[in-house]
Amino acid sequence: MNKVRLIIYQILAYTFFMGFIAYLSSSPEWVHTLPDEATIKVSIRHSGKIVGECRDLTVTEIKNLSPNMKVPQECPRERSPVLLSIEMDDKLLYESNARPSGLQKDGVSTFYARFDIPSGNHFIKAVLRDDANNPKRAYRLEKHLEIIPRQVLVIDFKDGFIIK
Amino acid sequence: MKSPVVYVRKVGKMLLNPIELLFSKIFTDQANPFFHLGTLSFFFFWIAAGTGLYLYVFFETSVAHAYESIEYLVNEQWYLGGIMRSLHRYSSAAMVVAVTLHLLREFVKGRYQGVRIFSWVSGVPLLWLLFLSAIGGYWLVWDQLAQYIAILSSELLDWLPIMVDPMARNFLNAEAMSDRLFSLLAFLHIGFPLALLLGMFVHIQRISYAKTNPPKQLAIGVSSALVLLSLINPAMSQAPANLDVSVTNVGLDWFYLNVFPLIELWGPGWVWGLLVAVSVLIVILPCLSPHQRKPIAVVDPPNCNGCSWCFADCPYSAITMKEHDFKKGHKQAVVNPDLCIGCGICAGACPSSTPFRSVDELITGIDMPDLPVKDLLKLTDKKAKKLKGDKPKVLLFGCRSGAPTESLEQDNVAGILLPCVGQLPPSFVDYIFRNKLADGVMVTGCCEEDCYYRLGNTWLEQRFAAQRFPHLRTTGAKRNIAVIWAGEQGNKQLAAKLDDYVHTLENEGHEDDLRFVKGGRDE
Repeated sequence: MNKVRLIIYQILAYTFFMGFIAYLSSSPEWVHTLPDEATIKVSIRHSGKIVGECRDLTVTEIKNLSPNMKVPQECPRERSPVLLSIEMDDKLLYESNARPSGLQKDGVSTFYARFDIPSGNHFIKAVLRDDANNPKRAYRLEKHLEIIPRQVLVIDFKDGFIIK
Repeated sequence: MKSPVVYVRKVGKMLLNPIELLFSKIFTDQANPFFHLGTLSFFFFWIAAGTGLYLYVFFETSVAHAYESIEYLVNEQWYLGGIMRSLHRYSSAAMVVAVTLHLLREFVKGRYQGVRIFSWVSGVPLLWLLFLSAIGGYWLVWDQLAQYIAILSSELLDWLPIMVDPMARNFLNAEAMSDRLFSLLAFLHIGFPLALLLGMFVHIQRISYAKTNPPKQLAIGVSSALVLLSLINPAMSQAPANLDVSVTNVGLDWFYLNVFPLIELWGPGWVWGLLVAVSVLIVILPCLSPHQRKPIAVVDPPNCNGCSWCFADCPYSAITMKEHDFKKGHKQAVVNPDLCIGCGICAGACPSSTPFRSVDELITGIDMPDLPVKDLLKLTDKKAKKLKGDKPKVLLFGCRSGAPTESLEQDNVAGILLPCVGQLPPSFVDYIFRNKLADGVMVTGCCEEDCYYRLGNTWLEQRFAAQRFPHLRTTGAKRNIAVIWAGEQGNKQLAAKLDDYVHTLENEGHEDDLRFVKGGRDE
């Protein structure tokens, strides 16, 4: 192969290499959410109620404890799982039962979920139950929301539901 | 029944070989990018590391200013910072291309089993580190793409039951982001590449004379191409990240971020399954197809004079030197059976492998049980005796991984096949010319820079050119030896070169011409 042709072919090979790198570095575009959609993020960390009752220690039991460890009551550590359900426009959007974290099941229960929803008016209903022994105990939220396109709406919880 | 892996390799070879041949024609064998994918990966790494250092000087590790600091480089300092940023990005992309092709090629060419298993398996964590390094880099830009991958990577990590608090909580909205997390990301983007570099160093530990620099011609070519690309199509950030607004379209880097759409389509669990399955498959691949281990080199202490030539030539550092068993003050070669690949390059290097020795039985210092030097000598004599006709007689030494020599055998041409031509002691060529067993000797093997045993053709050529021991001794051999690195696809070129060689010997005689014929398939 003569030298000029060789150089031309090399330039072509490098051009192909550059084109390949340049194109796939940013193309084709990926559609994550549609422009008229919004995002709901459910992100909650909440500790369930402690399962079981505290028990008063007897005088002998207290006596047997080391001087720096004397307490009048013995309480269980395990916490109740937390149940969360969210409905949007009367349709179930999310439901989860989060176990408490930790080997002793005494840690926090966490929820995280992300949904893409059409923008517009929506009715959100959320229920959180944190005591398996008392199903009547529940935190509730019922709210009409006007959600604009591309909005990121966060549903959080601190002594009650928070919408950010 | 053959393993399906064998068929996959066969198909892969059918696809790869013509492309490699084309690139050899364009770039020559010496600078064929397919023969330097490992060194190119190193080269791209260094470009990314060097440019990364420059970018880090100007980079602000804070949520509020990270994006701005990169925009400053791209817009205000486009002539240097902008080019550096583009080079950083494009060299990383080029690296993953080189690494992927390197992995596929080693698989297709069957260079991942036996002794090579260490390099093969140690390459798997490197793939993870490479991707982690690159993905971490995309976070730092803190544009819409960074926002997209930050959310999805945290969701991917949160699927693993390792953290109490979901990592994704850090990216809920703008107020949830903290500068501390950003500093951690910057630290990881330095830490992962450093771990990658360490891993690359380990990856090449089991091979001797490991090359980490591509040929100059190729290095200049690819770096010029990357600089040119950075000028023509500079890498740009997307719109700044805003966690209060969802990302719609993202210009994805499909080299590194290809897994993210899968997280959306399949969910994190399946993606983890895929990533683990692919990694495990690569690791166990050497066990999925049969691998016949070649007999390893054997040292014969009475004939080993401790010269260390075999030690210097072993491509896998399988030979070490110890105190001689009974020759005081001498060294003796020791073969590590776990590292010996059975190429025979050591037997070709041994000064005792010479047919000129006055011994009843030719036993050399280090030899191959499947084709000992004494059998090679008998074979040479036998083949030479069969040569007949008026045309110049040629003995053609080939290797099992190079162009097939059987089809080229004629009345005046006899072929001798070795596991690797590096096993041929130069003294055999002297022996052939001294005893006029043939008018010419032609040696062929793998292409330059692509020896199946890494260094067989390189060392043999250096021995013939008196650059490496043992040398050729006789004038006839020095003048008339022909070396053609035709490669496994180069049968046509080899046949043509053989015809030329016979023709030259026929027309010009062979004793008086100064002629060290050398050629490759790229010519």
